[in-house]
Amino acid sequence: MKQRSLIYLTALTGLFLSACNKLIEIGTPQNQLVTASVFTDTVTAESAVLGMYSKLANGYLGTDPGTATSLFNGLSADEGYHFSYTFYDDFKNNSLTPATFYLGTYWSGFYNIIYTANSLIQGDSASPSLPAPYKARTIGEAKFVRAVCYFYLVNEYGAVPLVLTPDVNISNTQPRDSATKVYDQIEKDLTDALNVLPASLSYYSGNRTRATTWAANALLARTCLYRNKWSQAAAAATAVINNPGLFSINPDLTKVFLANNSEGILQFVNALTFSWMATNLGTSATAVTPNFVLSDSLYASFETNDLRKTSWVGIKSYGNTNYPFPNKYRYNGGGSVEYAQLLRMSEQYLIRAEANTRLGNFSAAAADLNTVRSRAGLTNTTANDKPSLIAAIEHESRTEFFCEWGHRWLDLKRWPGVNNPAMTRADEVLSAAKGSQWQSTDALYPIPQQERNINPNLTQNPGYN
Amino acid sequence: MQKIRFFCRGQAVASLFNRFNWLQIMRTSAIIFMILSGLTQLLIAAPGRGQDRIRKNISLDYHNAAFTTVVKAIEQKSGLIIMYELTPAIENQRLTLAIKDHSVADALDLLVTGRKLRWSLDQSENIVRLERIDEQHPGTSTPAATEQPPNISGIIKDALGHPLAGATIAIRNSKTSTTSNAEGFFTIPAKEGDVLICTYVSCEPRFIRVSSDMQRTASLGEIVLTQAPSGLDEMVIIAYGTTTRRLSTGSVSTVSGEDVRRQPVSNVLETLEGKAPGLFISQSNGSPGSQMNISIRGQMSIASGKLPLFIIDGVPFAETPINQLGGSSYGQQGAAGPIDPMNSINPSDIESISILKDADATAIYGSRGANGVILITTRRGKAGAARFDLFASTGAGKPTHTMPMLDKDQYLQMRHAAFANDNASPTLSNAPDLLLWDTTKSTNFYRRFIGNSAHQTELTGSFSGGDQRLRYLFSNTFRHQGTVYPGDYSYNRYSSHLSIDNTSLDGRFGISATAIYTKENNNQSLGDMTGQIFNLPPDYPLYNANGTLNWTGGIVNPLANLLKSSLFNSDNLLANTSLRYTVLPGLNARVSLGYNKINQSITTLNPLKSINPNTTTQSSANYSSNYVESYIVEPQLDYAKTLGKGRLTATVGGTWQQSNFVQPYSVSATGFSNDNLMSSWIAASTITFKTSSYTSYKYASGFARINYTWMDRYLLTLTGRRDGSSRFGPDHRWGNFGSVGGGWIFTSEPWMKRAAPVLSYGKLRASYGTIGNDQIADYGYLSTYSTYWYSYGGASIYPSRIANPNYGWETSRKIDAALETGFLKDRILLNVNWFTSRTGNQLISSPLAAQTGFNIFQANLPALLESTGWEFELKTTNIKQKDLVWTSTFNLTIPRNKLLSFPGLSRTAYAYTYIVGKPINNYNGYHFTGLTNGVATVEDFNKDGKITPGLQQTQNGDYYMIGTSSPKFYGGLSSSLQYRQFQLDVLFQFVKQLKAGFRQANPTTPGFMANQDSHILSDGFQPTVTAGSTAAYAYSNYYLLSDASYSDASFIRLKNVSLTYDLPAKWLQPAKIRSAGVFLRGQNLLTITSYFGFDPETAGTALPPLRQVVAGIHCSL
Repeated sequence: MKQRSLIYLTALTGLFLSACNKLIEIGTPQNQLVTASVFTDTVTAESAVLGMYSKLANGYLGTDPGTATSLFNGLSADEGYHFSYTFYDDFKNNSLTPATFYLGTYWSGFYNIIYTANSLIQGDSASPSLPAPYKARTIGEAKFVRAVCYFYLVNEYGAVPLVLTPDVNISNTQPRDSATKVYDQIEKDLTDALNVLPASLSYYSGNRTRATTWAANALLARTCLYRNKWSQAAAAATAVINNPGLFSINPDLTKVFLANNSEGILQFVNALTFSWMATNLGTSATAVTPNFVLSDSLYASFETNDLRKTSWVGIKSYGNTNYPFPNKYRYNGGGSVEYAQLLRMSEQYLIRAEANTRLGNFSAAAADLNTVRSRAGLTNTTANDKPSLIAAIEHESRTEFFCEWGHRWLDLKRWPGVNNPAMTRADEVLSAAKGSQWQSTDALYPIPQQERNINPNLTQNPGYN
Repeated sequence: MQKIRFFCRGQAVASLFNRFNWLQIMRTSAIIFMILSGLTQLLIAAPGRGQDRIRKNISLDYHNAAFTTVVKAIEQKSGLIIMYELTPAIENQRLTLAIKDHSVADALDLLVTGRKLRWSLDQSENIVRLERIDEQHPGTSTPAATEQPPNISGIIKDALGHPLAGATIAIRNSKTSTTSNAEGFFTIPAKEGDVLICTYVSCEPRFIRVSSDMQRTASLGEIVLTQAPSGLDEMVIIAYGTTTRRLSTGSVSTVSGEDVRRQPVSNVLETLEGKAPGLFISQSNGSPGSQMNISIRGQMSIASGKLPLFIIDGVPFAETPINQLGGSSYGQQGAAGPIDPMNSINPSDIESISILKDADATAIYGSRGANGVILITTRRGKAGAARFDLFASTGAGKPTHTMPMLDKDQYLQMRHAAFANDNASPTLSNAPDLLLWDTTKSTNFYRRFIGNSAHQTELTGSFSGGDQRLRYLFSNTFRHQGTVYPGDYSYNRYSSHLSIDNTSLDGRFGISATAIYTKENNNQSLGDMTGQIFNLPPDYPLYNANGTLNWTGGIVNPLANLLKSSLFNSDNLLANTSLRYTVLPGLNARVSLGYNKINQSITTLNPLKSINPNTTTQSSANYSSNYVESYIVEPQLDYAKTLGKGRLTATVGGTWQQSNFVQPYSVSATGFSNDNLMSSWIAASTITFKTSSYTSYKYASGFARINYTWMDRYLLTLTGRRDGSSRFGPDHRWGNFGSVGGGWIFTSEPWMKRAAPVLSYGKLRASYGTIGNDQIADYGYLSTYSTYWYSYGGASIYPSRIANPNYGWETSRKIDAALETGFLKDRILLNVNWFTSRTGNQLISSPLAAQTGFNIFQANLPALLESTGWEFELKTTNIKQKDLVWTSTFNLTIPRNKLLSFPGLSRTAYAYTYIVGKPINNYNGYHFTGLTNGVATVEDFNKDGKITPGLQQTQNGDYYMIGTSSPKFYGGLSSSLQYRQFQLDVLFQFVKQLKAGFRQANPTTPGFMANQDSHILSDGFQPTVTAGSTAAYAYSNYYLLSDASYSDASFIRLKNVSLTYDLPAKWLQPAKIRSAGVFLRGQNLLTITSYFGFDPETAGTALPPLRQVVAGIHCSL
């Protein structure tokens, strides 16, 4: 009797155990969203899209791509030096090591945004409830953001792992993919995106802060230019330029970096209470010392009467010396006054000018060049053949885009040498400027050592060990 | 540089003692004296005298002794002659007879009971005759079998209120006897005037004369049997049940409520220091409410939770500071730092604490027991007349020790030398102490800021009583504890405890309910003052000439910190109800329902008047509220049966638990228009940060345990548990854990008694089992999105966690082996225990390549960590006489841990810390090679001509392993002396360990504008004022990172002295007072250490533990 009841009870307990998975169901956390639930309605999905942009726009130094790229690349090229922090001298002296701290965060910052984009593409694609047009557009935005990240990664580091999935089991050990493969993916993503992204700013309440078909075209123009695909570059730039109702060269230099000014093709909302761009590159009126100081060669390269020299360059006097500094971003209070501007109109003119020069359309090239020059209060260029136009474009790019998203650094690295086309323009210019500190291998930043420790499949760039 | 110093300084409390010479004696000989006392056996037989020998009280302590031996002992102790003529069958019997202060008559009763014997005293009153009860000599109380008296019933319980099954109840001088059932219930035919003898193995017998009332109600009520003097058979509370030390197969240490109450501290964990082998506890700060560091048998886990599981009255208790559980923001802390939730348990409500250590004892807790289990049982009402108990005490405390610093003249000398060395001139910006302040005046900052007496007052009133069916206890305690800081800071605790036990008339149904409610209110300065004042330049003036606060020199004025405040409030409600129904004899169905909610809120205020006007003009404040809420349901079936020559007990049960960690709000705000409007953030102009959070944890399991004891000689326990935890991915939630434990009481073997008669008790036991650990963050397996701090023109969310549904339990495999022995009739009990635990499948935040988008995710790593060690415990009864009892307990634990393997270590963040084959918790650093012209030098281990941080073992640099933060050994010695109405209890604690020394806590380079310890100049450091100078660089980059900056933090501490005097009963009887007395208690009275710093326990610049002296009274009506 007793034994029997014991057996029954044991059996009951067994049944209880087998059915108790439900007992430990905790549902989903209440202050976090499980990834799958994000993509069930457009309101939540929209938050994820905004979060992707916000990550791209608002990190901290080293992961905030705009400021980090502008600062690091400006130092690596010949744009100047950092007055306050000798720490940055490793960039200026092209003496980076795989252990240099900010390189690791710069790298991981981009990949974190890429994950966000990949997660969004996967979540949207798998969602049964999101409307198809909404999915298409937001996938286009994610692809655009992914292209932006890979554009900088491939330019800074050369070959990089091309991660296109949020699955860490795949991505954790992925080796580097060739620069060509990465570029092909950038072109593909941009081409995919420009077909589905809106052609009007009305989707975004007139704001220039999210990807449009024009932003995709503009980045595609730059990508094709970097890949020496001249006619595609010119065509894509033309597509953007032919929208005078939307985008135009802003005649007032002091307004070029303001939020939603007419020159902006794609800007990033600043949600911080301060501005990384203004605090790291610019210098506030109350500060005693400057931060980023323009190199003598850059400061000297401005033509007389160049309005940019007075409008976009400030002077900080300290200890009987005048230090020129980049004064493009002036508002340190953050918020919605100035936005970091990834793509703006004058670049499209210069892209088309360069493409046309390479294609032999010198007068068209000179005309585009003059569009930019005239806004700076300069007379038309006298350049009229390939060498002179190339030199004029290099000069114009330097004075137009200094301390802005690494334009100078990336241009120098992709251009062939003027005197010796076998080497790069960077080798010519920077060895002249920096002497023995410059080696050709400095053109690519080292793969962060931390990453190579964790993923042994990552090879190092030449010149670093 | 380092000398042995005694922490007895000219402070108020110490001076109280300095008047007495005995302290001087104690200082020099205390240790030797106490250790000897633990080993010395003083066996003093009670002298016999007087004519009324039969009523004389004697004590006996025999286990499995020969009949003749016991008879001889009674003869010897009573002075009587015992005559008997017995059959060999009786004479050869072995029996157990353990009594304490009972009459000779009682002893004789026990001797004859159940042996068909009777005794009688002859007329000379010198001779006792033992005779057989047979037809010729019927028992006087049982005239004939014809008239059976009516049955009378009762319940046998132990002192803790647990029913005793198998107790024998016999009627004196009769053959009638019975045994109690699993609920302690029995019935026996007895009439008025019969004397019932109630005995139970290991318990003091009780003699009950059946009164007319009892006859009328047919009830004897509840009969409480107390433990016999030998500690072996004390009731030990274990997981879901009880056992005794003798019959236990697991490694369990216990601390009684008495031991807890003796220490005048607010946190029960503090009272456990030095009390239990294998349990290491240290205080983090001397302020009331501060967190305790706890580990059982060392560290099992590299990265996941290291805390033991705490169960209070069957309800799991969250021992992590609540704001670290659910919240995403910790916010600012008060002077005590993170608040230990255990403060919300009133120590005087505690009946006993069990520390479960090995697999046998903890496997039934499955996934939660890997770091050991601490079971806390609160007091319950006892049957008897209603009683009211009152305890009141008051006292004061001071820090145990402060660090001697340079005096003003030495300090100024150092500063001038620094400027001279560097050829620099003092300026107003770098030397206000030399140029601006009055160098003729100095302040004793210790006395000014941590020199006050921390008063404490505690008042407890409890009301308890009941009968065999209903027992109750209602107790309330109020505690007030001040701080050593100037100002109106205090810790106040009110706690209420209610417990009710009810049993149905037939004893088959029982209900027990407990409710504890505690309210804490801790008002502290913001931040520990000790760290803010210890290195102020001695001539630093607190005030400007005009009476305003001085802010020059870049120094945070300590008075400003006193204007800031931290207000901590906590409510703790813990309730448990357990129901029991006896389905069949031996089979009990139970269910235990528990609820616990701890709510903690912290408000920290930085009013404008406390802020340096040169830095900001904004007042600021933080407000946060956090709570944890747990529910637990535990159905259970117990079955007990005598099977063959042994006894089988089986338990099957289940657990379902849910815990919610909630942070309703955490808000930071600035810009209050008025300092008086800061109690709420409503008055703030800007909310700088706000968040709230909610996480949930669920846990379910089924378990079974079978225990079989054969012939009280061979013991076997099997435990199995299947566990599910919501902290793991859906496919990895369930895990199986189990253990097997066995014991062999070899002294119960007949041959053993002949072989080693001196050995009164000997047991070998061993256990093996697996236990898990799920102390990781909730939802770690889910890929989630969280709100991004920066909106992008609209709400933004971003992927906050990468999914890893593949991780599972971290599992420990534990082996435990022990030899338990008792000598000289168990007056010396010695246990030697060896344990080892290997924890693999370590739950670690595993590094990911950043290209994945994340740097880490929760994963299992194959790292294998071994924790092993020895525990020794020695309990002795040094003197046992009627008026004088002296007992001692000594324990020692020698723990070790070692990283056995860690595949891929070099690719993780741990590569710069751990070395395979070495302990974890290691201190790594340079080897200091002395000073060259006052400049520190260290050894270039890898001989590359450079001094590089990083371990030489991993080819990273010139560090070596200096030592470990875990103690090399630790333990305690407690001694209890009872003489008539006096009781003296003494507890020493000792630890052998290495800690960061004072200079790591005061890292300013000598010569800079901060005070230094009084040895800095005599040690020969070259003072400097230039940042980056050779001397400054070497000091901060070599010396402070070298072995020389660590200090031997070993200590021996007179942790507690308690002296109690109970008023004689004859004084109290006229006033109808049950008992009354006075007590004097001291905590942390004396510390012997060579530690270079404040206190070796708290280390750093935390406020040292307080030396407290408390006097009080108790009274029972």
